[in-house]
Amino acid sequence: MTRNGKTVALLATCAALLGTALAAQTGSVLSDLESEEVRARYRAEAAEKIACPRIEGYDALMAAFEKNATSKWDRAAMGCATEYGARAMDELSLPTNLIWAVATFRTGNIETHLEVLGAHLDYFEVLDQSYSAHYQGVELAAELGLRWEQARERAEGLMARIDPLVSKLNEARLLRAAYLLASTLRETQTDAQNAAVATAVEDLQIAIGENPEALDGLGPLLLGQVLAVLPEFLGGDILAAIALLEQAHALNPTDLSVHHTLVEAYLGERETDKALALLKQAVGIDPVAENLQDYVDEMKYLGGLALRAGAPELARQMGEQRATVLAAHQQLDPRKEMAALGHGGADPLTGKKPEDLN
Amino acid sequence: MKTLSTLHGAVLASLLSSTALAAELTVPSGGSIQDVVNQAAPGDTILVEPGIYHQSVYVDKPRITLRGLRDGDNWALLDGEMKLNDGIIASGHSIVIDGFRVTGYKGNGIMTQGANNFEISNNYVEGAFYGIFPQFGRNGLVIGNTVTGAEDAGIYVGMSDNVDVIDNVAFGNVMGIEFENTRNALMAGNHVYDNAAGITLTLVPGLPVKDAYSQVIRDNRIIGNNHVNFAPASSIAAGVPSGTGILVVGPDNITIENNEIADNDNVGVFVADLITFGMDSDPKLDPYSDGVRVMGNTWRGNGENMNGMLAEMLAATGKTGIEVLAMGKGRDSCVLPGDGIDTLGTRRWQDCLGDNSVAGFATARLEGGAEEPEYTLEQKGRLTYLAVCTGCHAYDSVLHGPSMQSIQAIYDGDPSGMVGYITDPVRKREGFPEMPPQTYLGEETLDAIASYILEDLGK
Repeated sequence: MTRNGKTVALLATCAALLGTALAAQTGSVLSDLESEEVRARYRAEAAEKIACPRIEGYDALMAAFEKNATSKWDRAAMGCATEYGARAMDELSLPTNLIWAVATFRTGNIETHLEVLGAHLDYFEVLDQSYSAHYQGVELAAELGLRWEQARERAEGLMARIDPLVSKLNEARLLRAAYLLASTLRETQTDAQNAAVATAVEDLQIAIGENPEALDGLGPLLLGQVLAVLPEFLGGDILAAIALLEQAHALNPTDLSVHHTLVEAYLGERETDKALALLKQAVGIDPVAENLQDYVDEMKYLGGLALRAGAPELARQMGEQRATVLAAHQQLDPRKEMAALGHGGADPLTGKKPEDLN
Repeated sequence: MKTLSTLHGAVLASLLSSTALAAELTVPSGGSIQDVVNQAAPGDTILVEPGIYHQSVYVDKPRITLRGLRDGDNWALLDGEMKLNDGIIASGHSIVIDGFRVTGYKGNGIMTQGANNFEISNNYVEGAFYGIFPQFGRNGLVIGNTVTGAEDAGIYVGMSDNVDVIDNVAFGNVMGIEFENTRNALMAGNHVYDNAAGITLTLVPGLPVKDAYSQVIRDNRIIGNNHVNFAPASSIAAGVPSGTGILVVGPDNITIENNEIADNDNVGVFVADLITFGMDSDPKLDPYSDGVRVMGNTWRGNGENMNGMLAEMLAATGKTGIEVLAMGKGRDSCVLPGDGIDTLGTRRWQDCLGDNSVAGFATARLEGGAEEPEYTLEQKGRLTYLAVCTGCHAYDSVLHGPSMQSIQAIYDGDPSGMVGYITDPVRKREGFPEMPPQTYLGEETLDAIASYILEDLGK
């Protein structure tokens, strides 16, 4: 799992707090497109569009997995990579019985399973970012919905094999928590989201109790994110969240997703000086230490936080560094937000795009 | 003295242009409103006789008054027959849109886009995605309208400044009245009932305007907003919880005073951060709702029949009957202790003081009005693209029509070909509605749109 995948906890918790509404009445352009007939047609088209070329054999599948498992700028390539990875794990025919698992699991197989599961978590994050902030057309909605379902089905298969190891392996417990948060972020009923968050919190508390340093401090980061978002009357605790996030930062000081979450928590508490100090550290982190898509995404986000913290010069530096990486790696997704139904896009009076505006 | 005489001349010219030379034009029953708009000069009044008009109307001239005449139950009725997207769209400054009944449009009932000093009054708008939708406007008045059946907001003030929304009725919408990314605005004397949420005050990510503040919500009746949320699932409005009187998500410096807030099944006032709704994707927005003052309202029967997502969320607390629910990290908010209301999540809130009162706040509009800049063709292209084209076309995927990316590929280097198609479209694919001709926009605007789409959009 790459670093940015860890931010899913925050988003999953939000989604669990307030889900989406019931089906639409007919009338507007958008509701017309949500008829069962239209959805079925687009779903069929999407299934055809996202189908991956057939590959056979464990070695070939793993090679195809490794080639694109971190291509976070290209959901199609990543979708196929995760599919190939999951199929490769199927070929290992690993046991689902705990005793048998402990007796026969080879360390390498366990690690590979966790790696493929981690790639699915990244893929959930990529899909989540592909949803529009305002309105997505039916074509995109059908594709993303289908991708989400397929990814969840594959990941469930992986989890079925990893579950017997959870009580023995802290890393497996952490990834189960991350999976529960990531996979219920979209396309999930509210009650299922609530249950997933509750189970994930329990897992995280146990995992941190055993070893907070596991997976570079993933436990404190995820639990910190959840506690920062939950309201006070549902167990949210911003001060406890900040303590956990500071622990995560100490364990993994170059992880920009930790910077992202901790800076936001500081700003929420109006601790601007602490936020600025962390932002200054973030701007010095070498892009090669990150997945490049994560780097440009985080520089965009952190640049915005720098503006909110009253540091336009820092924001400018982050913007420049982001632009440099985007220019050198044109495959990366700049995450432009385009207009739909009157919303978004360039300012009609100035022509400036939201990402250009300070 | 020279200055004085120059001033006299300017005043005289202004009077002449705005009154003495203003003409009154009449559209006969069922005639083409657009034809008369095209003939009109700035300052003219267009009277539309009672009758049925299956049309879209576009006004890009300043100081036009477009008035529907009414004879008892016979209105000047614009009916899009669920084929047309927009009823009336205006980008001319000082537009007045008064007295129409508008029904059967798939996008906007009445929309102003970039029009300053606008007035939208005494209309009855049914259906549509957005009922009455002033956007990118400075200094406006929305008064005396009735709006129902909108799949998003009935009255939706977006990215605007200095707007009064007064004495309207909004019922049966997903959101009755909304201020979105809007600064300095007044909502007063409105009756808002049987919507999924009565009033929403929001700061939405990904838009050019990055803040929302200074809104006064006073003397409204916000009653029984428990309608099922019927927004399309893929829309942002689908996340609005039904049974909410007033929802505040993101703006700052909000006063909610002297309203009657009753019988909203889940909660009277719900104050949240953008993070609560998963809307924190835009880092240039301050996600916290700061400075929300709730004081002197009349409360009755709110939160007594909790259901849906809010009920599920609050089940663990065992609390119902909540008048003010707060979730988030907003600061400097307050309730008036004497009001004796039940609150949840307000541990960091304070007690309001008497001098917080805005009971006497009469208008958010600017004295003397806003400036009225003349838009360039480039701006006109962008404004009209946003108002009209995005109703059916998304940038990178199919909506009701093909994606803008595919249109750019088809007409690359051929703007006149694009204008030709927009003017006289033909069905190209089965299963999609035929695009209505957009000739009402006029040649100059169509050229500007084509130029914007082919040269600027997404570049």
